Amino acid sequence: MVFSSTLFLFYFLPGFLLLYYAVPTRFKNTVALLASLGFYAWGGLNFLALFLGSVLINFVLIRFMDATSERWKQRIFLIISILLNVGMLFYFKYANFFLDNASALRSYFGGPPLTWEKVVLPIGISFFTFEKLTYTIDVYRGVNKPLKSFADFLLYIMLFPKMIAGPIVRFHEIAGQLTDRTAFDTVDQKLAGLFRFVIGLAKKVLIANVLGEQADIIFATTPASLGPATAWLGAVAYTFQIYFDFSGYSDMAIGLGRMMGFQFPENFNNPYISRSITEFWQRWHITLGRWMRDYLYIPLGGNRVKPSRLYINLWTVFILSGFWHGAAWNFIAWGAYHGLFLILDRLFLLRISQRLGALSIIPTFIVTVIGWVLFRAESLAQALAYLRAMVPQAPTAATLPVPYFTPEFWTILALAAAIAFVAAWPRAERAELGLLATSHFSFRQAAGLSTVTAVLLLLAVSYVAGSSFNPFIYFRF
Amino acid sequence: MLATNQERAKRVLLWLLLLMLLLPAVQAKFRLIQLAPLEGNFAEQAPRAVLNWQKLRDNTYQTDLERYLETRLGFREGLIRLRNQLRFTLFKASSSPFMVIGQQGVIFQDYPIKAYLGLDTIASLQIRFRVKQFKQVQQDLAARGIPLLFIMAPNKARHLAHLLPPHLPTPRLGQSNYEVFTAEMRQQGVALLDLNSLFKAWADTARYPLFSWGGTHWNAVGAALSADTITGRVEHLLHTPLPRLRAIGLPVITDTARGMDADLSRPLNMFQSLSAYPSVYPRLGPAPARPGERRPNLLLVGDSFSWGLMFFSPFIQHSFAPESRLWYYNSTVYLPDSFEHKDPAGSEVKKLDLRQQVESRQIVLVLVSEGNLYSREFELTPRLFDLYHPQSNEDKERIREIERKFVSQQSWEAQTQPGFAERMHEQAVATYYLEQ
Repeated sequence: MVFSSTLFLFYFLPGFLLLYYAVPTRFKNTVALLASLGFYAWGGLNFLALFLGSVLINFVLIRFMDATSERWKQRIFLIISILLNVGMLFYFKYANFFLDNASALRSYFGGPPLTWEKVVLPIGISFFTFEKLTYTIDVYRGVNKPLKSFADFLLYIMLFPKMIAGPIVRFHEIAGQLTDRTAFDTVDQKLAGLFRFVIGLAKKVLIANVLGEQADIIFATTPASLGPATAWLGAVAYTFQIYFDFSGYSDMAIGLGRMMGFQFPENFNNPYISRSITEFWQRWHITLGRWMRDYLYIPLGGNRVKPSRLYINLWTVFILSGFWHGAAWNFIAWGAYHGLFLILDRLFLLRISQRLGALSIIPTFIVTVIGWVLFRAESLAQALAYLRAMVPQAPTAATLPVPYFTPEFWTILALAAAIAFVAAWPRAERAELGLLATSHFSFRQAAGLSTVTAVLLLLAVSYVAGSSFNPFIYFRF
Repeated sequence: MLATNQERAKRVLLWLLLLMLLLPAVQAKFRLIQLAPLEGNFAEQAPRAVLNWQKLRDNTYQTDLERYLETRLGFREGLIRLRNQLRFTLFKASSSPFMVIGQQGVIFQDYPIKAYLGLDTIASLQIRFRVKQFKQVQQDLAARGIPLLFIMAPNKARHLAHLLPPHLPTPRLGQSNYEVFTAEMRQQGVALLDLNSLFKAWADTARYPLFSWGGTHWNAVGAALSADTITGRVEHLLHTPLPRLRAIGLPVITDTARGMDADLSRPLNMFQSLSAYPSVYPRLGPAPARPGERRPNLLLVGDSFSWGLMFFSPFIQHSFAPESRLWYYNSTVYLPDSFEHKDPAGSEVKKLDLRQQVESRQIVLVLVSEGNLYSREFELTPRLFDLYHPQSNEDKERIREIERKFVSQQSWEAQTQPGFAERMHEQAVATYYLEQ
């Protein structure tokens, strides 16, 4: 069930909110948990038992870990929990990839291809696996005490706004709110949450979908028949599509959380105004970046190792990050590509971007656009062919005409660029952050906010009702 | 006290917003407000989802229910109109992928534009083969005393090309299927009535437009001129006069488009109708009877242009026998008075005895528009050809031989392409019959 579907918007969400607001505080977690179970079961009924089983085992393991005072025993429980979670992720997400490659290798050496029944990917496994790991590791590290109630733990993992596509909420960020959210249970929080949800919905259906239609057409064209201008246009359209799609989803999740009294961490902060790839990763999919830093990069040694080791660690982390996004070589290449620029940043690029000042936004954006080609392509071979099409090589390719794109596409592209880059102006960025962080409104402010919410909701809903083109990109992961 | 009032007012705002989310479901259930239904080719209402354990497990229940709720959503009509209106007002865009808004607000259908621009071309070998096959069928029926006439319907995109959106590519002159087909037909001596070229001639002299601004077919004037020409041609082929219609007064000129004249504009589904050009409807009545007149039994096999010969004015009903039938897309049988009336004796063409049906007629007309030229007269020609010239084992063996030769000439990569085998077979069949 995607947030922009008719079922979610007009049945599930209002039904849930009415019930959630109507019940006394002590039953709110129960309502939220039941709704989350229903939400997950709707798309993944076959995996529900497996999913609940894995959460239960994880919960019990951590209780055992907490019960023992000996560090080596705690370490054993930690390792079992990590193996269980990573093993599940590995099996469901990567088994097909490894078997495909093993089969291809076998065929290359003259053997018969392997045959196996394809493994089906459970919805949201990449996200909830990381959350289960944060619980395990945070408790092991002593950052938090384990939850006493299995229902609360289940709610942490399953909370429907963030379960399928994040933000990845680390346990210590939400531990307190799982048992007490009264501080955030105000009408202002709810209004702000609904506003945020509608902003996300509008980003998804009014911007990302329109750009996505054209990006899909361009990426579906044989790269050799694309002129460089068209190829760049497709890559830029996708660059904005994925941003407005994914950040729109995060806005919706954060907004829903706020309406329920939860404060989820921010996931995006105007990433395309970054002046380096290092900064990009502090602004793009922030919760993944933090997870990778805290639970992978720092345990590998972090910054306190010699430079050569540091570069290897950085690259490893980003290759794994690419692999987390998808079990295919193009995602690995995308991770490696970003990892490479992070290393180059540390070697010399950061110094250049400091000299360039705000101008360094442009080369950083171009590097990002090229990276998205690796991400968007169906295979590494297609990505490379597409990248070749972006380079004017032969006179014929350079003179291929740019196909016609509708005024609607150009307008939305310009709007997307304006929204994505306006925060490069510090006052605009401050105003945006101020608006999103506000937790108290005067009546006039609330009325203004509600009017904007109503208009955007009406617009977005009219597009939802009128368009069958409504897939969320991040559901692939 | 002030703070409490403010809180209360903000609560009201919140509940009003939540009501916005709830209302479509309430409207879906109770239909509190009646809205005008949507027009055109929108998804039909999905059936109610059936719940059982198997469907829940394989996720089909979930998909069915989502589709059901989507198509029944309250205020859907208004929401879709809002989106369409916004897209049209802001971007002059049609929300249907099948419609193109041209200059001065004239609306076109997409595939006739492609046909005019030459973007859907068929290989010349295939065209020669298809024309030869049609010519053969024409001779077969002529031998049985039944004239078969190919009528090329006019293309709005070709005749109002100056009103097409300026961003479209330049047409590939002489290369469109229409141009190649009609040239080949003339060369092979096929009986052809090319209304496309006649429309070009009439456009210079006609007092009124021959196409409506908001439809894809000929308008009442274009249909009347065409019907009169077709009747004249049939009289010539049958050597006998037919009852005719004639003008009985000045035409009606109105801002309200009738019938097919709005078959594109109505499905735009907007709040505000486009400012329409006036539509012209000739007033026709029976012409004085001539000696020896008779109404032949007609079989008309055609696409949607056929309706224009029946509904603006009753040409088919007036000039042809009551037993006459329309085989719409060579698929569904209609009585010639209404698209509501399928033939009670059998409405599926494929279930009819083709020989008996065709040979009981006195005239067969095939009416095809440019965008449908690929369809081999809606598969009528191959069926008739097979009827009169069934393939012998020798034919089949020779075709297989040619096919094998063609396949061996293709690269390995080409052989892995989807539809390769079918293409090779078609090419072998065409080559074989062209060799005859």
